[in-house]
Amino acid sequence: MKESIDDRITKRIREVMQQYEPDYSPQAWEKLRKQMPVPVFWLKRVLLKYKYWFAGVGIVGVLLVAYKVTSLTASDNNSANDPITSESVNQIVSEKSKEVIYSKKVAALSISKDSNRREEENISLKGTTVLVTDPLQVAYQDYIQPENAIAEMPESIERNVIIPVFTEEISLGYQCDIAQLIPMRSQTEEISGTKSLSSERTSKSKFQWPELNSIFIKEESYDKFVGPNKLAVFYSPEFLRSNSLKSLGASHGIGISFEGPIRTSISLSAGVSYQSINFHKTISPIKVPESPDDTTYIESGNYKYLEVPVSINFKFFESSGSQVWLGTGISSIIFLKQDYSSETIIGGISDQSAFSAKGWENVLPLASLNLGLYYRFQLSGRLSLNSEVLYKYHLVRLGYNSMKLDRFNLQIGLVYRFGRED
Amino acid sequence: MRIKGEQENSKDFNKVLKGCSRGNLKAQEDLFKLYYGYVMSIALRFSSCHDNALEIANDSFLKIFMKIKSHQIDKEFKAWVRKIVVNTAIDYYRKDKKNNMEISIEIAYDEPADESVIDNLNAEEIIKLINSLPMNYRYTFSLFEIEGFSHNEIALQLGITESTSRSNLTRAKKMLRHMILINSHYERVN
Repeated sequence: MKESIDDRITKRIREVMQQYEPDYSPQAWEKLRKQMPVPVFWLKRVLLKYKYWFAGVGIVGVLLVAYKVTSLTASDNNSANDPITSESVNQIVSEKSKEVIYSKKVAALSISKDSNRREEENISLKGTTVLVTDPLQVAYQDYIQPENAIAEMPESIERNVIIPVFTEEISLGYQCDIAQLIPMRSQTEEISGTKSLSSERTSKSKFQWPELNSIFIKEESYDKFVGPNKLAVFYSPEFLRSNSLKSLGASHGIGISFEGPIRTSISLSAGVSYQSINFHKTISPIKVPESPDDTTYIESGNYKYLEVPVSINFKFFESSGSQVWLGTGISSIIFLKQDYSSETIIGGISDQSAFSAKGWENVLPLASLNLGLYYRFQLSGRLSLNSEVLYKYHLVRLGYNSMKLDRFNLQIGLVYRFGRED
Repeated sequence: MRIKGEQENSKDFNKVLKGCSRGNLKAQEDLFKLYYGYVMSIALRFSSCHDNALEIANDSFLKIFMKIKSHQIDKEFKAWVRKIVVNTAIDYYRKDKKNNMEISIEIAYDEPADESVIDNLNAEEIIKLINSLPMNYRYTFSLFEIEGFSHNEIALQLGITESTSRSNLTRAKKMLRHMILINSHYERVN
């Protein structure tokens, strides 16, 4: 059988190409040398390789530290407001002497020589620095009698007393085995006309935001594990804008999220949602030079993925039955399925190619930064209607066609509150 | 410069490979000199122009320098390099697929080309012909006819169906025949 023309051409191409090798080009080496990576320190390499994981861990770390700091502030406030109890005095008595430095705080010094408490004199003064060292041996009256002391020293130290200290910064070389600095209470303000310790502390860390005081106020018998935790189930339609496709699209999903309070007005929430994105873009018709036919190019696909958002939320408005929250956080994305197809139609002849990636191929730990506004309407004691508007700015490109997305996500669902009532 | 089989087994060549695995720039340059022609000849079959081929070749060399530690010296180095270059070219196809607006020209007539023209085709002319093919046809043709991939393998690698691969190949051959015919007519007229 005679060899066909196509076979002859193919054979010739194969023969020639197997023998052909272009000559070495020094310019090509120069070009490559410039592209070659400079040896990188191993730590930098590790940091670059796992940058998204480190960023994720960093954000979680910052959230934890913020939580810890706010917890400590609140517990300090609580202890600051506690009156002196017999237990605390007894505890003080049993403690070994130690150096206490209390700086720039309004405080009073409590001294007890024996644990049999009688009548308490409670004179609160403000002071700035107190240094207490060894057991009380000396007539401390010598030490604690600055000229500017507001009140007289108590004459006796045979009982528990709150002694006046000072109004200006003073270093008190004081020997005392039973000493405690006690922040002044409201009485102090009346005496000195200055702010109390608690108000001073609050003002230091206070961020001017509506109802922000409640952020730092820990409710009595507050326990985050039995607090007003919430479980939300939602449906989330969304609009998305693809920078790469220059098109708008719509998608939808469902999900659940768990929300735990940190403070009255702050909560942390984490959830998981299943989203499905459809896209379809027709570029038509394109006039191609030297071709009699127009070309139509169609790009379409469907991506299904799990999204795991974590956010911190601030309640900044509350009225009877309604709450408005502002939330910010990050989302991770785990692809389940990617179906992508492109079709080129030239002169009525279609040339189609399709691609389907396996599930779990793409895991993006830090996929998007989210900013949301939530509105909650209380339906009953434990049930609320929740609606959210979220803007999701994608940090990485998604999917087989590397889409850069901006997403406007709407969520509507029900919130069930369990644990302690608000 | 052509690479001889013996060259690969020589002590010098092993020295070059070891130098490359240590990141020695001189050794890398030597390897580049040895394999530039070979790598470019493969890259040219998958690209639309010389610059594009150079890009594929450079990326392939970067991969070679990075992965050379994992290459076992007792295995054939040339085959390993070939695999890397073909895979890099396929990566380019996947990356450029969304921007691939190349067109296919449907041949209106099917006239056999002059047989002597076929036998006289030289490397430059063949490269020009292959470069003129639309990207999807070029890849299918090169993978099937020169690299020896099956349609099933091509479909998997390029994310197309087997039938598309077959049709791409047929159209590529048609286009090549058509272009050779046009060239021969043009030469005769001139």
